[in-house]
Formats: sequence, C-alpha cells, structure tokens
Amino acid sequence: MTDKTISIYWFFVLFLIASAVVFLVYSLYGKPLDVRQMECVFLAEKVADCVNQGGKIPETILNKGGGFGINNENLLKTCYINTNTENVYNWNNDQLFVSINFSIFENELPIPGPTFFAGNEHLWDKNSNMNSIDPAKNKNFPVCIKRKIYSKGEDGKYYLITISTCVGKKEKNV
Amino acid sequence: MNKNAELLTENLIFILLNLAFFAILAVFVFIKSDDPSILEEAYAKKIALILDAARPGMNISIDMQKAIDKWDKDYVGKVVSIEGNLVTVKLKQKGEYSYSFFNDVKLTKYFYRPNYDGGVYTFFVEPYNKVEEVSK
Repeated sequence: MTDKTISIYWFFVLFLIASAVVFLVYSLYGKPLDVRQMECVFLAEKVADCVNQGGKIPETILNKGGGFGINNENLLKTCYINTNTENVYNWNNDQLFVSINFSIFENELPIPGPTFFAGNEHLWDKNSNMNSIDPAKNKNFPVCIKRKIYSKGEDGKYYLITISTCVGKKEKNV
Repeated sequence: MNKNAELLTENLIFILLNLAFFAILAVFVFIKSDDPSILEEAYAKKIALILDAARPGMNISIDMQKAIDKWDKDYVGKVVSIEGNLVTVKLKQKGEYSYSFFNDVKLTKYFYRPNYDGGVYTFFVEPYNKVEEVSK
C-alpha cells in the first residue's frame, strides 16, 4: 500500500464528507415537522368563526341585553374545540390555550370588556407580547398568535374582539 | 511483480475503497430518505390540520399515493385510523404516528379507497358538527 490509501489527509477528507452527509440527512429527515404555527392560526380562525358570523356576534355569544352567553367553562364546547391530546410525554390534555377579549367601541377608544379563556393558561405569557416571538428562533416556547376582529353585537354596539391562541406540543414538533 | 503491476493493484485498491465508502454513504442516505415513519408523521399531521380547518358537511379527499407506495405489504391493518380526535397513520408492522386535532367534529365515514384505473388511493373524510348535541 502506498501513502495514498492510508494518508491522514485522505481519511480527513472522507471524514469531512461523511460528517457533512450525515449532518444534512439528519437535519432534513431527523427533525419533526413543526406545524404549530399553522395549528395556532386554524385555532384562531375557528374561534373567530365562533364569535363572529357575517360581521355580527351570534346571540349565543352576546345577547341583546349585552350579556355574554359564554364563560370560561363553556367556551370550548360553544366553539366546538376539543383540547384532548394523545396520551404521551405526560401531556394532560393541556397543550392548547384560547382567550377571547371583548372591548366595546362606543367612542374612538375601545372600553376594555370581559376576557374569557380556556385551556392551559400557562402557555400564554401575559407579560410579553407573543407576537414578537419568532417561533423559528424560539422553538422551545409554545407558539402563540393574536388576532383582532371587529364585529357588531345584538345590543347594537360595536366590539373589538381580541383572540389569542397558543399551541404547545413542543415534543412532537421541535 | 513489476512496477506497473504494483501500481495497478494499488490504484485498484484505492478506487475500490473509495467506491465502498461512497456506496455506504449512498445506502445510508437512501435508507433514511425511504423510511416510512417520515411519511407516517407527515400524513398524520397533514390530516390533523385538514380536520382542524374542516367545516361541517365537508367531504375531503387526500391523495395518499406516496404513503401507499411505502406501505409494508406484510402489514394488513388500516393505513389511517381516527379515534376520537386522534389521527393515526401506520404503514408498517412496527411503529405508527399519531397526532391530535382540536376541531370537535365527528367523522361520519372515513376510509381509503383504491382507484384501480390510476392506481391512486384516496382517503375520504366527512365531518359533521355537534351543534344539536351542544344546544340540548
């Protein structure tokens, strides 16, 4: 055998090539698909469809007298949301969070109204603006989004509805 | 052995070793990319997201040809099963992938169907809303 076949240089090149291929393969196929952002958007849309139908808040949500038909207990059932998850990673059906805030628009500034929420509130960090967190850079955080819609209630008032949703499921997406 | 023959042998060994190395790398890449568990995860999440966005009365078709191509023929059970709000895709005897969807719909029927004309399998789902149950 000559130096060519067993030279350190050649083994180093082979090692580099093998490492690069293994790294690329694992970075491409080794990580789970992260669908939390999309799931979060769908969840917000689901809630938006629930509290706003054709530009109006349904009477089951807000009645003519200005009373709310939803509360923290019946929010999920009213909006047909099921927070059950697969029984893995010690998940205890606590991987979703939904919050709805109603603010009344009587003058130019909205008057803060009630907030209803359901699911795991620990997913939502109240002290930070979750919209500013880039999920691509902070994969260990739950993915959260905030949506605002305007709608008219049966009581004749206009409402700014702020919907916040979070999806955990880190173990299956990161 | 003369010098030319020695050179030829050395070069031959060198080339064969290189070929063996790159063949092992190619086999590794092929095995990884051909792993059905990647498709199990992708389809389970895809179906779960579709059901999340589904509305009452929808009839959704999903072309699962890629999954069927990788389907282990020794496994004779369901490729896709939906229990409660949990989608499970299973393409091989060992292992499966499950993902939950939040949309509280029930599926009135779901099955995969082979289209023998084109060899394409299609998966149908038909969610319905539980409005009546809730309002009771």
